[in-house]
Amino acid sequence: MTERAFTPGVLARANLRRRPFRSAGLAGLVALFTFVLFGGTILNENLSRGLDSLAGRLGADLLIVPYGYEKETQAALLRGEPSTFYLKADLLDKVRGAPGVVQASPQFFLASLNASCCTAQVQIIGYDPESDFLIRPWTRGNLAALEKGQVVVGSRIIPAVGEELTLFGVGFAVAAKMEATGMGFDTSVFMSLDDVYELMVKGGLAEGDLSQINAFISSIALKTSPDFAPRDVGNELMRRHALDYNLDLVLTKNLLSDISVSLKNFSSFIWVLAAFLWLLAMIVMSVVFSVALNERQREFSLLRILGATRGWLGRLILHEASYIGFGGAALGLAGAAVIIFPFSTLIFQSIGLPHLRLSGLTVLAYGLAAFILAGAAGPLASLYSVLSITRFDIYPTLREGE
Amino acid sequence: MLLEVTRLSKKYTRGGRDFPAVDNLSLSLERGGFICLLGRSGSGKSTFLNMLAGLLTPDAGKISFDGLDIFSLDDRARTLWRNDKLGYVPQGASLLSNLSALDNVRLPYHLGSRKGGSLKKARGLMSDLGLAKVEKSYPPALSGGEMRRVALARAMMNEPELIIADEPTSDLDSETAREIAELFTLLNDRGCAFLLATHDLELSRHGRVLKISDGRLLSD
Ligand SMILES: Nc1ncnc2c1ncn2[C@@H]1O[C@H](COP(=O)(O)OP(=O)(O)OP(=O)(O)O)[C@@H](O)[C@H]1O
Ligand SMILES: [Mg+2]
Repeated sequence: MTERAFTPGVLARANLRRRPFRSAGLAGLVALFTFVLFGGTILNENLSRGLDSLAGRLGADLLIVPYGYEKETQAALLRGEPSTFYLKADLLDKVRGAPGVVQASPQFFLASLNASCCTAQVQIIGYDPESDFLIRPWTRGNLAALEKGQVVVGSRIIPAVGEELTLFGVGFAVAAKMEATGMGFDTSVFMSLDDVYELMVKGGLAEGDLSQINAFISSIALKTSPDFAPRDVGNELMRRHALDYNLDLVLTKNLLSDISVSLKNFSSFIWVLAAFLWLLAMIVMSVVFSVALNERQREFSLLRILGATRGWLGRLILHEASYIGFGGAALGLAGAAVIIFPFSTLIFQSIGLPHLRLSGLTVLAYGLAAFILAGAAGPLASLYSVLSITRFDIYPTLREGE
Repeated sequence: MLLEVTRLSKKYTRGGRDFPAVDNLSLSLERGGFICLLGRSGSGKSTFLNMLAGLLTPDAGKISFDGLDIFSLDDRARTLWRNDKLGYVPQGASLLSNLSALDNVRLPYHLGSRKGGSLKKARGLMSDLGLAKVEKSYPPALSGGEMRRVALARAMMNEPELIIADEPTSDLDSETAREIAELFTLLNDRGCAFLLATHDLELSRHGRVLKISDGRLLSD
């Protein structure tokens, strides 16, 4: 048997073990704070990185959509809520020649009501593989050209590359899969415009005469020249075509700024909650420690009688508080890891915002920061107790503690 | 002389007026000596003993231990002096309830700057005092007599030159009190000086008896 010397740490552990409820209660409070702080920042960071990467990779500066369909476009792109809307296709050529427009590529949005692949509704997006710059950057592997009857599917669509996907009774071959984008693309199926038109006719998906359906598209994605401000390019296009075509413009920056606002709200909520919990933990611990200091006057005096110096007692109290603080913090981190990581997909899905997973190193760094901040609440709360131990003679304190 | 106390005084305030709890008290104790302070409740025994142990600052007078004026030391030095030279058994329950009996006995050894282990020594002391069976017990599970013996073993741990015990046999039955008294004689024979406060006449059969009343010595 190896023999342990009685350091302040060893005695602190013995003291905490003999008061399990008090110790666990305080540690639980710190754990709760750590959980909220760590879990909250991780969620928050996930979302804001998702947003950043979205902004960086959403190659388009401008989207032209039918008047009044801004919201639908946003919902379709970001949340994957299926929607259908039309714009006359001959606009495309006119836009291509406009000043400041570098690239223009059309899309056709088609909401599917049921598809054999998925339980949820799928957004079918027709696009022009030749002029496309919106979908390609996300496509995994090297897709040379999209043949007729082939589709590119979002990361959360089930069939794998080489398998078949049936939409409205028509079979399609999955030619490529996309990377996770954290937005509506993940639950979308992409095919050539011609295939979408054909699918609409075959599936009887629209009322009336469909022979002219290929004269319509849903939106045009534009890339503007760096010499022009996207807003100016948009204003010029509106001036020229808004009346004839009943247009609306979506500045992709603005599209994202809506989410930025809700994200900011979310993160300020997390910060306020975390700050509140930290303060609460500090106050409760300070009160409990100073009450305990009174209750334990006899115990501390006995230690002094046996030869413990003030410094030794101070270290004892600091150790107890640190075990509670850092123990609680570790507990909170473990809780966050157990609850947040396995369910993160579910959580993000219900929030319905683009998100990206953080690297392990980043998570570790945030964990460490939360651990230190939360753990330090223990020793900080005990500081008053440490400073106020027996400035007086030991004997009167011993008697008061009786 | 191991201990020289000269004209020691301590006043307390009661009902707005000062009164002397210890009044100009002088006393000396040789190495290996044995003194029993006998006095009624409220006569000032505890106040006196606590000043001797450096736990209470006197209003006047001097305590010199082995030639050292203990109140000339700062708090830290006095604490370490007490840890090293003095075994003090306070009045009433004095064990740390979060530690086992064995750990209570070991603790003082580790409060100074001693190297090495305390286990063997603590076990030896405990079996000397008939405490081998309760080593692992926590104080709430000990009888009154066992608690006193553990406190005594703890006071012995650092091989002090003097043990001061405040009412070591109060609330004990006469049989147990006699056992404790025999222990004192045994330890005193090994060379440790004793200063006891008691109103137990049985205990006062040992050593030199000093009677204290209203903070003054009646006979010496
Ligand atoms: N902190 C204090 N403030 C005021 N009076 C005190 C204080 N401590 C002790 N006294 C009083 O001083 C007197 C001496 O007290 P002390 O405890 O030294 O007596 P004692 O001889 O040890 O008594 P007992 O045998 O009951 O333990 C008593 O009258 C007591 O009421
Ligand atoms: Mg007393």
